[in-house]
Amino acid sequence: MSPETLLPVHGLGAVVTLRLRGTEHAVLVDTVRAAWERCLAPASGPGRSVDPVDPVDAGTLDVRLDAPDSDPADRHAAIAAGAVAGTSLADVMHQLSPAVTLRLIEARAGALMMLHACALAHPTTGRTAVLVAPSGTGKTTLARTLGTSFGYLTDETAGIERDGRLLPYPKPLSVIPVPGEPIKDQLAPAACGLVPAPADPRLAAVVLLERGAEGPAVPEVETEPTVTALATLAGQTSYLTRVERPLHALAATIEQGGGLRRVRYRESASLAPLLEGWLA
Amino acid sequence: MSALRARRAPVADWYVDGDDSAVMVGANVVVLSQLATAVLRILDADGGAGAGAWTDATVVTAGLVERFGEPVGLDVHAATAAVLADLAAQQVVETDPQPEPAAG
Repeated sequence: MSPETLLPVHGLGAVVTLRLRGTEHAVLVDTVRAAWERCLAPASGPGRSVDPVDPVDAGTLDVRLDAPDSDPADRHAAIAAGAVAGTSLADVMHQLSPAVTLRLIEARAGALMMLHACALAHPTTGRTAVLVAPSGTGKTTLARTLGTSFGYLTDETAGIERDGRLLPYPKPLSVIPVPGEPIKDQLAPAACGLVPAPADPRLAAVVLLERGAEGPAVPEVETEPTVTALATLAGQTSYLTRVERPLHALAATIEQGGGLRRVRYRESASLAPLLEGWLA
Repeated sequence: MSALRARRAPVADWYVDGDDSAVMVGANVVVLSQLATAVLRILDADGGAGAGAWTDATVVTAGLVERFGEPVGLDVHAATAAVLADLAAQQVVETDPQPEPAAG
């Protein structure tokens, strides 16, 4: 029986317990702890993201890392049972990120408005911009660029309560090491110099990102009427149909952010002055 | 045409902002024009909110003419039928009889 370590990972007001196993258990534990350090069980003191309420239990997720020459039977059985498992540390870490995200959002389905977004907060006011974008279109780049000045809440899923309070999910940044590489590196927020989330982040802006190589050097901002914004944002939500009166709830979120702002831009750094203005 | 009738489909939610609105049908959000929004309001007023009783298309036509006036160069009943068929195709309303499938 190989050793195992239980590691609670917090986000979106929920907690999923990772059960770390395998012949390479020790290196797996060290790597997960380092990459997910901002999501580990709350600890007192500055620099920690603390869940403001008792977290919802998102269950246990088995994670297994074995040596390449190990007997594959246990690993195959684990994968068949829903575990994240493999013989490559980078691959296991790559698979772990979406698996944790899925567990957390499933646990909060119907209770939170969840948008596929990067979320950054003013470190002193707590006013937060939710920057919505489909996968692969700039969320992580934006977090990495502007998260050194603004508090980093997430680069994946912004969880928003009905009163506009955000529940952080400061997961590792999933970064493609070289173009075309299918396995993303999982970078610890602290290692990227990202500012921790403030204590009580509140929604102040909802932004739809439209990044393009041909985009304007100076970002262009348009506001969108709430009715059409519903259609624009619905496809960037998780479990919207599980929310009570989903369109009214999404409209309320949009209005809490002062209406949907559509921003066309070229470089992430060019958005800094806009965030300064919205979040001050 | 007078036999045509309609009612709101049991959509997940209907958000109204002034003369504009959006409905959630399954996981999809459909943004409605002012004309379509008016149709749903007429159906609610006549048949009750939600998937209520059937409303004769002539009632819908009368409501639309009162709100928007007579359409120029169009048969008013045919125009109503076309709007209802469009909304039925998007599962926002139910019609009886069902609209004929488009040829071709």
